[in-house]
Amino acid sequence: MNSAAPAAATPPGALFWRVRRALRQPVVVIGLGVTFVLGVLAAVPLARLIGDTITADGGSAWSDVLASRLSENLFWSPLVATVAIGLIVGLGSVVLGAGLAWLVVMTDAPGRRLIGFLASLPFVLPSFALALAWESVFRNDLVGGRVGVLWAMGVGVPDWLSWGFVPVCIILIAHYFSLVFLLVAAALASVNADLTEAGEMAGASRGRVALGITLPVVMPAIVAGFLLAFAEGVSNFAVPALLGLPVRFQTLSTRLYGSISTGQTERGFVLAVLLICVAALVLFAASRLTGRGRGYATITGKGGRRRTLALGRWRWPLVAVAAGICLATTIVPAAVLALSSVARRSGQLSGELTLHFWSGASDPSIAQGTEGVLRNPQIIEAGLTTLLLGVAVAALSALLALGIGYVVVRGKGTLLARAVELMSFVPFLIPGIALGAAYIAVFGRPIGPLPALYGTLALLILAGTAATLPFAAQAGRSTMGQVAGDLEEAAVMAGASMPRRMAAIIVPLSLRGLLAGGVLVFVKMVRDLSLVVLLVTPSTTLLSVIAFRYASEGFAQFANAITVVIAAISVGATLLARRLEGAAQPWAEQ
Amino acid sequence: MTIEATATQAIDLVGLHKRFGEVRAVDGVDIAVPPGSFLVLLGPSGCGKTTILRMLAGLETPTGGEIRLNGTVVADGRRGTLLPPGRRDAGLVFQSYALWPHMTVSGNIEWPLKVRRWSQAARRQRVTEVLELLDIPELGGRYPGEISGGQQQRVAIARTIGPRPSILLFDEPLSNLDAKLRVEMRSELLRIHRATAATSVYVTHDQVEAMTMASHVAVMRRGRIEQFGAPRTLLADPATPFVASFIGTPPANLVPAEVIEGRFRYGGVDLGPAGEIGEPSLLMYRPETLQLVEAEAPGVLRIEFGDATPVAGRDIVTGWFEGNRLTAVVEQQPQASIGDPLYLRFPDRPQAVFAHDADAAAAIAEATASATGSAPE
Amino acid sequence: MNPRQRVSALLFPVILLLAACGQQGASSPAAPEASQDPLDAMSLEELVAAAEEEGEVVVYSFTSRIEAVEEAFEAEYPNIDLIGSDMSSTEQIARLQAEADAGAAEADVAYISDAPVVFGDLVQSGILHRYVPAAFADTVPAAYQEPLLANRLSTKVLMYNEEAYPDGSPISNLWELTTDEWRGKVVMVDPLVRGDYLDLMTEIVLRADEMAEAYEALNGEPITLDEGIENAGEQFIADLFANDVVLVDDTDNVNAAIGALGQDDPPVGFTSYSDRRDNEDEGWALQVADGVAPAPGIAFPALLGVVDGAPHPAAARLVIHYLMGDDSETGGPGYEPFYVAGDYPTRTDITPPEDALSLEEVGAWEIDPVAVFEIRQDVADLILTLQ
Repeated sequence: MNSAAPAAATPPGALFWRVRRALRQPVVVIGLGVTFVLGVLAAVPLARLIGDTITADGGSAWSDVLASRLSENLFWSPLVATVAIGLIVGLGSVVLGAGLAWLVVMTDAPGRRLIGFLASLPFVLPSFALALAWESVFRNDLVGGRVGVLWAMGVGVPDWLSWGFVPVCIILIAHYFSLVFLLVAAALASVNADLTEAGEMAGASRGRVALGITLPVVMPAIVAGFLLAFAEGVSNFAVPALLGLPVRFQTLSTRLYGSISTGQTERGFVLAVLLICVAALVLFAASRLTGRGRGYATITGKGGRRRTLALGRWRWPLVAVAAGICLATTIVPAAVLALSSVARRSGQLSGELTLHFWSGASDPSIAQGTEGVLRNPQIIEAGLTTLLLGVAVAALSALLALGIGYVVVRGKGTLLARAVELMSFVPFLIPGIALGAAYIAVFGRPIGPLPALYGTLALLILAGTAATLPFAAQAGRSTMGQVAGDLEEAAVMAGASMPRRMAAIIVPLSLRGLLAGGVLVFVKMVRDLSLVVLLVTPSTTLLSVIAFRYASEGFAQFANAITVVIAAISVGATLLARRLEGAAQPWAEQ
Repeated sequence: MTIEATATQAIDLVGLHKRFGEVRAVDGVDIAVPPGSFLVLLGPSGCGKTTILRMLAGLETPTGGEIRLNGTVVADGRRGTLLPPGRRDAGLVFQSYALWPHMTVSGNIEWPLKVRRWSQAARRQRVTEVLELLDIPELGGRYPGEISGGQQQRVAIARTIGPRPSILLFDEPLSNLDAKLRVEMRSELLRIHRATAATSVYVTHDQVEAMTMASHVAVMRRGRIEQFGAPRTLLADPATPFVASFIGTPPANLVPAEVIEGRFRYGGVDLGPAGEIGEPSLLMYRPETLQLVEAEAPGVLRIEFGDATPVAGRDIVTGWFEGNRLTAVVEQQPQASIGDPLYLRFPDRPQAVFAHDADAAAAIAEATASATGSAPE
Repeated sequence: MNPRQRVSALLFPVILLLAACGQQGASSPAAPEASQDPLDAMSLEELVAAAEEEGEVVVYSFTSRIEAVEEAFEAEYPNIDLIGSDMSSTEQIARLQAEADAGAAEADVAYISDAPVVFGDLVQSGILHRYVPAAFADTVPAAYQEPLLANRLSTKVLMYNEEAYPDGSPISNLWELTTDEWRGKVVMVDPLVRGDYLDLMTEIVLRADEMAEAYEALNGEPITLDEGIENAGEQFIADLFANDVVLVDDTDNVNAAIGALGQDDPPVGFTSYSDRRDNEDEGWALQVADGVAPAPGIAFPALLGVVDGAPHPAAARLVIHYLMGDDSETGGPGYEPFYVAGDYPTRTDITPPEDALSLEEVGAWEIDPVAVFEIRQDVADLILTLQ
């Protein structure tokens, strides 16, 4: 559809016919519908965020944040900490993720299938699960109360290892490296052997070929991985919230939360806007650097055939390191969490074990009488709400993915398509906390005849759908991209109407991709904390928030038990998604 | 089997074997060609031609036999690869072109020269030379993703000849191009071959290419050489039914004749004395030796008209008899529609006679399938 | 379409949205108190009948003891389901505010501390209503009836570990907390996260003169203020933070840090005197530091308010009545969870528990909510610069 500017001498009547004709096209109709939905979900909250900061109160908030005696602690210090975390997490994730990807895809390391599988798991566990696991092991007595395993054994864990910058970085790297791993492994798997053989033919040594040919070709994937890890590291809330306070380590996301939860909403929004700017700047700069990168995959033609590097005597050392990393980031934390959820005294994993925290009845001497996780009606209800939320968001997200994908792929290059793409990308820049706050601001009170959504599950669903929009868009784009235009055109020739084409051709062909995308969205919602922490109320609460509360209040075993449940749901759902997608491990075929 | 036994052959394959597990991809191949030859390895997919090419390149190792390049043994079945790919003074043009997407066209051409430590000045000059030779001087600064398929191919060739290798290897380079481009590129490739004075080995399943370009052709089937020789020889004197039905445009007719009372007979038509031969045979008739006549007569076969294609002032006429296809080249287009009767007169003697056994039937089927393009690689 | 047109085409809807959102602004909830609600005048029996018809009541409580109250209440009134939610005052304030904005009140009763903000914001804008059951109008001093009824005073005072210090408090002057001996060994909840602690800090600033005197008493010389510090109170806060005070996000963490048994060198910290009641269950040895100059901390009212637009107004009032206790000396089952050392009932007709130090003995400052409310935000900003 061509929506170019009208020629100078078009009579006014022609415009009407143009519009009418345009409205007949399914791409336009769907496009407008999707634009409206995206506008409500993404554009309005963002506008509200910005809008609130330019009112009268907002003005003073800006100066408070940027240029007052508060600024040092409220903004500049956390900014430095936040950017530092982002950079280190990005780099660390790349080194670890790309390194493992190389090992799994390009060498003959034994057990690489297993390593590949394990390396893709950490991303599935909630980041606060890793934080809790870390606490269970490394927590010292700075704050008194419960201590971790090491301190209980007499090991003097220093403050800088128990709390603050170092553990936050380590944990976030351990969480996000698997994201980079997935991206880089897929890229490596698509590099045709011809490219490296041509290098060999030119007389280059194996090392030269790797550095001069393979590495540059997968560089776009590496950069993309770095960016994602950076952006996520910058906006992560749970980990610095759990590990930062005792040593007064603050990031922009924790300051944001602090501001909003104490009623300083304008300040919080100012921080949010600034955080968005930081993220946008980095993403923009990096996308400039990799401008040409995107078309690489198409050049290599048929993929699949690869030459693997024989590691020789480096085999076992490398495999040991890789296995160590995988264990330390998946199996060990999961085991620690599970074990510490059955420990009588938190921190003494080798001491008395009990199932009290799972299935015990209320005992006033333990955690003020809180019942075991599996019996506690509040937790059970939260669990059901969590599942319901996950499913609802996944379904909505899949529907949107269909719409977005259709508009973006079929209407490629048009204004509508570009607007839709832009809007679906916006939530990626907004940290979860800020999005939650914006949603309360916009939908928390009645809008005309529509009731206020504050405290309802509907609000959570809307916010969740908005937050996962970028993933929906991505899934929709790639799925729809695989449904060739020809197929639909054949249906048009047969005289099928749009709804019929949708139902009989497009949906069945996209189903697998959409389902897989939907499951991933489900997992994201189940384990998310930063988006929902401001949105839940006592009557609609979620597992992740309860775990967070328990952790803050010192009920470690309960927190860990709930986290184990969340992790189990996440892992289970992800495995299901992989099954559905089919191409679970593109590098696995030999 | 050598044609000219000169002192040092450019390429010498002696008893070459390559096994992949149980599969014998190359099953005892002997080829030798002098410097400056244009050797074409011709055959249907799976015949082993690409495997031989890759062994020449050094990307695979033979499991038996010997490979000598310019007199030096570079690999053998017992000791494996003695000289790695980069040091054989050989270049390979990949079917997929294998252009490095992150380097510009000039960058692609320059990189192998960098690896060989040419000076910057020498590299620059060579890049310019080679771009000129391939007629793409304006593409230097572009990226592979930005140019067309035909241009990519030229770049691939330019990159390969940059270091001035004495041996050029081509892996079905024209198969990704459209028909018209293919014809153009054939002459281009020959021109480049002569300009570089290299020895070229060219793998293809397209017999037209072989006939046009080669100085030596090795027709291969199932890992073995069916016939090795100059193109004209293969055309004039095919050694096997496979070669007979594979080579030639249009391919020769192979008529399955019975021997009855010492004479060949087919479809009620007498095709000449059988001599010593007693079993059923395939009689080879080149299309230009068959004639269309007006009416039925002794020695004339009545066939059903299939189609007529005008080529270079004449017509290639195809007809059917009892499921067998017969092709004739005639001066004038027959006035007939599909299914109409045509009358075919055979010459007194066939140009060749082959035994009609099971293997021959299989060979013909393979050749026909490949020629009609049903097999991809 | 050229780039400029493209950009403006995209910006246009955004600008529209901004304008639309700006107008939505603050639609404030109900106007301040109107005339007397008829429920206020009901007798206990009438109230019970009306409440039983309503069938349930939702209580937001800043203390987790609401669970014990729930049990007792439901034992007394089996037809009424009490749903108690334990959340900090700071959270309650945010929630009640948001619910009022949404016009959808979820709670019926707010049992809340942080009087300065409650009076300054919630009562002012009519989100919470006052209810004083007629039975207690005489036995509760007037000060604790306006603007909201309080059923007790709670505390945020300095406490120590009596197992490690059996001879009494190791601290006798607040300024000792800023000395090297106690570096990194003072624990409290982050004042920016819990309003009660911010009130504590603010009260310290308000009592700057007393703080200055105490400084002189300890050090023998008058206090010198750092640059940017206005008074001795602010100086104390600055020094406390400079002395590595440990911040946590929950009082239970403070209690565990200070009170856990078996420590050789436990820290001290600010928490509620009444948390001493959990010593046995939790394995603590908490004891209040009395006789600290100029004061060990603050005492503040625990307020009871009916939420504006409450779904169960009669039951709400019944709960308030219940929480005030009954006729017995110790206040009965409704007040029982609060009948501990460290909680001071506002009713003058309840005898205090044995072995409890009186408010005078403890010496805590009673806060003036209005004065605190005025400078609270500035103190918060000061603390922000110190973190």
